[in-house]
Amino acid sequence: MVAHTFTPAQGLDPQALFAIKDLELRARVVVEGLWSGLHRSPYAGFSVEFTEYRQYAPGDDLRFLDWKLLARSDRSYVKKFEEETNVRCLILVDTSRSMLFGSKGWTKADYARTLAATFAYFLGQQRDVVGLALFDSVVHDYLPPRWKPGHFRHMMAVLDRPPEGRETKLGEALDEVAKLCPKRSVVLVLSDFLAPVPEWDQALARLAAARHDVRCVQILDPAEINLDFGQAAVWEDMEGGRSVYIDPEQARAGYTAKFEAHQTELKAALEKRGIIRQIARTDEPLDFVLLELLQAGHARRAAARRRTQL
Amino acid sequence: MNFLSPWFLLGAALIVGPIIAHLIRRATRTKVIFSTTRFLSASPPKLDRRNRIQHPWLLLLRCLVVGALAMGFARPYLKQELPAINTATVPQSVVAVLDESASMQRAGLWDAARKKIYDLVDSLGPNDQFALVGVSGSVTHILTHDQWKQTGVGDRAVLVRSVLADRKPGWGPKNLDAAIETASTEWEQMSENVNAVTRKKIVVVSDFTASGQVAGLAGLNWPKGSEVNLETVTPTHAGDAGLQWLGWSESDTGLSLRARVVQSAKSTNTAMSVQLRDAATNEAIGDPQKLTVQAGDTQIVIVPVPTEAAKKPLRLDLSGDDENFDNTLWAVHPAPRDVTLTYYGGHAENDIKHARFYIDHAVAGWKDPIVHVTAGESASSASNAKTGSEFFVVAGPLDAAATETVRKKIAAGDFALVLLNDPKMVDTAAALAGESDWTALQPAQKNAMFGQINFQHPLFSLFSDPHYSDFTHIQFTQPQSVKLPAKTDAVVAAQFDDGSPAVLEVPVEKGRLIVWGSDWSTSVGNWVLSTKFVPWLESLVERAAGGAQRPVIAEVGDAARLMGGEPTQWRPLSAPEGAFQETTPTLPGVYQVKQGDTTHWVALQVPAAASNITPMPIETWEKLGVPLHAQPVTTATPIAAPIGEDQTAPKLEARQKLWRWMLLGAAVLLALESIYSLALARRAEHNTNEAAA
Repeated sequence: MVAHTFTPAQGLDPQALFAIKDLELRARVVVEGLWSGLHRSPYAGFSVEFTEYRQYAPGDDLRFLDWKLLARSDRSYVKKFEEETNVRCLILVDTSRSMLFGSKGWTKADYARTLAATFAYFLGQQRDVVGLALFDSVVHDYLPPRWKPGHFRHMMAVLDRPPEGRETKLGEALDEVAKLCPKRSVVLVLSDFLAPVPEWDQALARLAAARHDVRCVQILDPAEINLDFGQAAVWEDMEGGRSVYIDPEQARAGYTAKFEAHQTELKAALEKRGIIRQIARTDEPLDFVLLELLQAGHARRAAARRRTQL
Repeated sequence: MNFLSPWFLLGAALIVGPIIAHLIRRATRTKVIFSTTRFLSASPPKLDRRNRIQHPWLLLLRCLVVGALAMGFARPYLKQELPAINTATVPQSVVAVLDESASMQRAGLWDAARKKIYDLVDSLGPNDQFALVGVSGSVTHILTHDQWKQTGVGDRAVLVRSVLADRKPGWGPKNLDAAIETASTEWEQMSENVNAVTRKKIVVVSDFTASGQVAGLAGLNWPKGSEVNLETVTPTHAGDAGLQWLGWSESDTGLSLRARVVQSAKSTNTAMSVQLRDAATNEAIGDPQKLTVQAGDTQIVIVPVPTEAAKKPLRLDLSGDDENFDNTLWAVHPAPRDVTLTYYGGHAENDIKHARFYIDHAVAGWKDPIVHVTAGESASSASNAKTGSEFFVVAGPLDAAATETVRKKIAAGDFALVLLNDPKMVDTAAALAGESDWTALQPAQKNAMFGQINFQHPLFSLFSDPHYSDFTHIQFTQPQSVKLPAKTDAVVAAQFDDGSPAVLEVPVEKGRLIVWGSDWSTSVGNWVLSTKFVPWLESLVERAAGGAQRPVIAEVGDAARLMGGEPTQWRPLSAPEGAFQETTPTLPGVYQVKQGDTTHWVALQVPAAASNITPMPIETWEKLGVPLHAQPVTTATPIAAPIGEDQTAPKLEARQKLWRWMLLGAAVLLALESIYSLALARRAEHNTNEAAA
């Protein structure tokens, strides 16, 4: 496996990306750039899971070894893509009010929608079946995973709908998704996960227990991480409507501490359930987030395979 | 600096508002929307020190705005006029206009007006010039500038007092415009005698009622530095009721006098009565009429006049009013003139073939003059004395005696008409005219018409209007004309269509002889059946009676115009018989007027407008461009001007108009405040954005 390092400066500039109004075009730009990058850049080494060929690694199933290639070039490669095309993926996008925050000119919701579209397009290119569920306090839009012409356009249309902006009830939404999608799937949850962990921890556990491959992308605005934002004023909570006078200079230390504690609690809760968590800052290039997401999935499966072999 | 309305300065206390607003820390209104405040703890608010003023310059501007507005509304003025006229060095040319019109007859006005004049004269300096004019219909010079100049400085005040001591207000109309125009011409005379720059001032002392005429002041050129001061005098009684003449009414029930009672808006006496009296003896005629007239209202009264009383001068008195100057109406009923029409021709009254029949019917019913038709068959009848004028119609040949008698009457001023119903009548006409060589002329056509008519001539001027100048339908079947000698006084007023004279007028000393070239009968033409016949005859008889009757009732100021410019002598009713004077009367009353040999009664009334005592609005003067406020004529150093009666605080304030500058200053300060506030807001916004970034 090739070591993977990247810097945000190398990816697509989010500001330039979000200047593109059309969501589908935005997803194409990201994915096409990713594909072209795969063909000409060192990234090709690590994203083996979704390439057509990858080098044989010890432990790989010899059934997928490309014998013809081995005979022709004396190199051992396995063909894994045949197996991956059958992935069912359900993308859950948080459209609650808290996702409407953004300090960079675009909101977390924009970022999440773009990321969902990008992922859906990417999977669609692999002929995987993709579904979509938008939720805030309930799942208000749901497209079951399928692959058919026009399904991607339909998803783009759903994603393009302006969010109604209700408060987040992640736990209830996850329970509802579990009912809507009983078939084992990759469930990609795009949310800020700022709600208290106990509110959704059990629901997420039930989803994972239903043999879904749950992956969480926590979308955070940089201002939410370090509170380098705003002025001394009355701060209003986007969801709760709570208003409180905040001086960021004074409140920064306490905020950071509480935020870190939440993140720690979040991380512990997800790891406890074996759920991949990835933090996506809205100022990060989207393609890197996508690559990181794919890499994390591959690493997890490799670890699982290793555990199986042991 | 003083203030006309100092209580508005209390508004300056509103300065406290901005000060408090700048002292109190403004609660932040900025809202920051954040995804979640769950991890945030409320920060303790920053408190400014209590004595710290935010944006002190902005506060200063706002305080200045409030202060300027308060001062502006308080109407400030300076006791020391900034651009004042140095009255100690600039002489004044003052012309006082004293209102002597009828409305100044009201109680208390005349004494107050004279006091105003006395005070004005006392305030004048030794170098000041002064003249005094009065107005009551016409403008009179009460004290000329030359009299003032020739009098010693110390004696001038005494001179003015002596001139006004015995003077009384008149009865004429309030022609203030004529008086002020006369006063402005006085300025010019004064400036001829003074080389230095003078301050020109007209001081009008009047009660300034709405009846005053000021329209003539429009377009008057006012010299630079001129000023008109209006000094108002107020009467003892605020209200007044007056009588106004409306006219005579004649009906089947008899003669009655119509008058209007005008009540002013501030009158308190509403119960009044009118009484008709004999003007000579003051004896009451009939019973008094009681009436109630509300304030500001008018009421018409109709007073029946007995037939016998109508022949005498009358007066109608109004009682129940505090002001008496307009409570009497003088009335004279115009007596109809008698004209004796003597008809020579020997024709019967009911003989429709001759002129007598048509003349009798034409003059029947005339009210003035009243024509009495008689037959003049002999010289003796013509010589009988008759009242009024005489008019002769000669339709038949006269004997020598009658001719002589009639001719003498004509020469004395009577009129005669000769109808040429026979060629022999030409000689009669010539004899009456006192001329010879008149020969009968038979017109070329048997049926004649008027060919040319001189409508400028008094005989036909009545028909000069094109609507009435059509004589083409009048025909004469037996015309008779006259061949006039080269030298004759006869004037041809109309010609037949063959050019021969048809109607002649011959002046015979004081009288007139008219010769008509045909008979007046339906058998010789249709003239007597024409619609023009009666008017023509009436105008002729009216000329014989002395012309159109003139009105016998007029206002005092119209007395001279009433007489038409003819030499007139007047005798007041109270004066002894025959004591006629040529001076036109200026007092209301009944006068016997003598014009020539005739006399008749004339009543002169108080001007009707004098009863209108509604105050004249000051805007009327301003609209006419009258300089009510002086413009400075020099830039002398400011000196203290004492606030006296003639320079009161409102006048100073109105002249200086400092409030305008205060409001202008407030507007400028507001503009600065807006700009400064905007700059502060933008700066705060910029800081906020930077902080957010």
